[in-house]
Amino acid sequence: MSNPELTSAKAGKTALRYIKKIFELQEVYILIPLLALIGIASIFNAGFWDGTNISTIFRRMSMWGLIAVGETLIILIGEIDISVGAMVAFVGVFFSVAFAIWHLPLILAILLAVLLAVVLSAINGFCIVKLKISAFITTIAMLYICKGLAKAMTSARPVPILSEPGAEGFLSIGQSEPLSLSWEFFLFIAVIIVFQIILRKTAYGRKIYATGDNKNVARLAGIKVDRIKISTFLISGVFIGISGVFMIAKEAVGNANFADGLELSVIAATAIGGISLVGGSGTMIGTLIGVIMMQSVSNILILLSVNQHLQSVLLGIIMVLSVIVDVQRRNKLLGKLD
Amino acid sequence: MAQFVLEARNITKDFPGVRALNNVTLSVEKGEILGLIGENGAGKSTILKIINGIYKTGTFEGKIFINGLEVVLHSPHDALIKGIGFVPQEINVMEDLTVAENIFVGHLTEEKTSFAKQSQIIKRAAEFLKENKINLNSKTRVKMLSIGQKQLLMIARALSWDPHILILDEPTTALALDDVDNLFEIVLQLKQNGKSIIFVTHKLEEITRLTDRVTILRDGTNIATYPREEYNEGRIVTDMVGRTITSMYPSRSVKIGEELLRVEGLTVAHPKIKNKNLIENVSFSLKKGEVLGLAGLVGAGRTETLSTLFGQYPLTAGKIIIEGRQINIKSESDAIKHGLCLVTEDRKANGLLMLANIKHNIVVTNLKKILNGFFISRKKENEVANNYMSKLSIKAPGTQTMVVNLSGGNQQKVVISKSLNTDPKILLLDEPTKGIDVGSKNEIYNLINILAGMGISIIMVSSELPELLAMCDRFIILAHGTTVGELEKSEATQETVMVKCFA
Repeated sequence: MSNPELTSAKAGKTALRYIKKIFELQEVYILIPLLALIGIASIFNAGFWDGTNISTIFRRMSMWGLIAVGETLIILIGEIDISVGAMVAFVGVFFSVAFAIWHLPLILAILLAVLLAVVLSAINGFCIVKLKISAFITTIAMLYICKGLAKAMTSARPVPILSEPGAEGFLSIGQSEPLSLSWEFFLFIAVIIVFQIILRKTAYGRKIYATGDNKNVARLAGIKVDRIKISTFLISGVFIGISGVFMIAKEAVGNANFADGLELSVIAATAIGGISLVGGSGTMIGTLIGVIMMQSVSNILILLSVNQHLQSVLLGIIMVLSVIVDVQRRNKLLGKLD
Repeated sequence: MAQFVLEARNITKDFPGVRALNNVTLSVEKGEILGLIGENGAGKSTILKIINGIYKTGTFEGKIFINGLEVVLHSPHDALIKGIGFVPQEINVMEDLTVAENIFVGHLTEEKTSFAKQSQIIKRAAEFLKENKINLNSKTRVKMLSIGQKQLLMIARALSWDPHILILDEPTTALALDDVDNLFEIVLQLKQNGKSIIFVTHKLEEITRLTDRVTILRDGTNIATYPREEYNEGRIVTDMVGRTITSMYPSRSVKIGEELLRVEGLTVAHPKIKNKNLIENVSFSLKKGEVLGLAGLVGAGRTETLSTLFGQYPLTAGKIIIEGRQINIKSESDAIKHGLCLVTEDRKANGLLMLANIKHNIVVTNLKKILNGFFISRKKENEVANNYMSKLSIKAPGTQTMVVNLSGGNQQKVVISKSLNTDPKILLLDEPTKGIDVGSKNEIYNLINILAGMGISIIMVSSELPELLAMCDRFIILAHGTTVGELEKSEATQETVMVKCFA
């Protein structure tokens, strides 16, 4: 015997439980402002949903999204890297010079550039973890050093790579638009998925969260905290290297002024994405949403022809609002911790 | 009816989903020391926060009277001005300032000027400390003080507002025995000066030693209030716990086996001070299934000995021998590999991942155990977590419950679960019952017995000597960072241990 009313009530309850469960996921709260923003954009400017516009957003965000992945790992373990923008610029310039001025083979130039990024990031990690210098100080110093080296290396002039043999194929990787997107976009999404799984499903991921949550507890649990911390810097270095090389593949020219201020977008995206700046909590999906959000906001503001200078004001406000929502949610979740 | 200096009448306080206090009344007379006792979660801290103005009038039901007049408290500062001084449980001082500045912070100047003259404050503080017979130097930088002295400083700070009522929230948790005596003297002195005191504690001994009346809370309600003449330890415990604990310290009949660990001449250089040793020439042995007590005063090197065994300090000299083989422990993970595990004294700082749930806390010490190839197996993870949840009877809605939402006793069980999850042969317990209620203490004691029965050897440090005496099979006495004696269970009493501590 089945009572249709009862079954539908039951189904309703199940649905309600699922909805509740969805709202327990931390990413949902970050999605709300994003959806609201897209709603506003759709009402005021039909151009937002235009296919080319959407693919532009995706292509543009992929140019710096990889760096946000590395930064997320560093922030999760409770440190921060402010030098990522300057490192990307330096690595890009280094690659251009190696390829177009020193005439190194393409592959070697790429490998050296990525290696350089890893070494620079490892130096950051070493100073922070082993020499116990604050992450802020260490990476601000690295920021200055990289900016200076990038300019010194090129006498602050652009380094075109177009005429170099092999440049054409290389540039097509950066400039081609598979499915109206970019190769870098697919790489970015793949990396996000892989690292989301690593964080959630592997021992390494658990060790990262534990280290960021409380490094004393992690150490007492037998986790080699220093190694975990340095590993995040190495991973971040790899992504910075790849991003630097991709940047040149897209722009066809090395320029010390590229990626200026990028670190701010990267850190803002992680904050919007719910990565706690004191470490220990957040997900890669959160970072993905944060990256999409940052890129969409600037895109929408351009579409709505908002004064360019006011754009950064709005970005700042959105960042603070996202963090407020996140902190409130966290307080609710953690209950008694007052 | 006597005039109450302070009365909190019929207080009811709700939190989302929980009634923290249900019609609780608390009153204290002039010149009286009122004991407030109850397990964690009984509502002690909630009622204190109400009396102290942290939960403002209006956020709870009920009324507060001071000297018979109803008052509205807007903030802790407001409560202070109205005569309620509060000394919180956690040490809360400004390390880089002087004692004098710490005392008078908030009212640095007597006149209405914005400039505080250092020499004047120091002079004022010195007089004030002398008046209240608190033995502190007003010029000392606070970071140079011991924990006991910091506790006194916090009391001095509250007294500087000349309150009618002084609330002390578990003031002896961090104190060594002689500091406790000193504190009690000061409290009695205050009583003679006509101050009223609310003394919050877990420890029955302190109630019987110090207080004139005791109020017992359980599950957010008043259970009973007894005047001193009617004190009966058994009844107070029953009232607190809500059930009869037949024996606080359960007995154990474990066959003690062969020697498992031997430590010879353990010496560790002080990591911060040159030419000084943290511990020096510490030697002892531990047998299988044995519970060994490390006795000593605060600073005797007990915690440092445990930390050294756990690989947190490099050895300058000495040997650690497990099962007849000398081993080399360079890090915490080495120690875990050799079957050692440490439960630290400070749950919040070193014990728990506060952003994580019970499950993630328990499994983190042995992630290999829950791996299925490269990935974490949710099934294995749940098995491990559920196993410890039931074995240690951790009371929580589920393994997904965040550890911050657990009571102190249950948090401690999670910490112990984490250690057990490494499958240790030797468990190092540093103050395993610190800051947890009587009921949970009893459960921890039972657990120690079960573990010993399973053949796990335990080295235990506790500042509560009766607990140590009751739970351990043998005692090593430490003083000034070195072993000064050893006592068998039959010869160990409070006196014999203390004599050796001071020898």
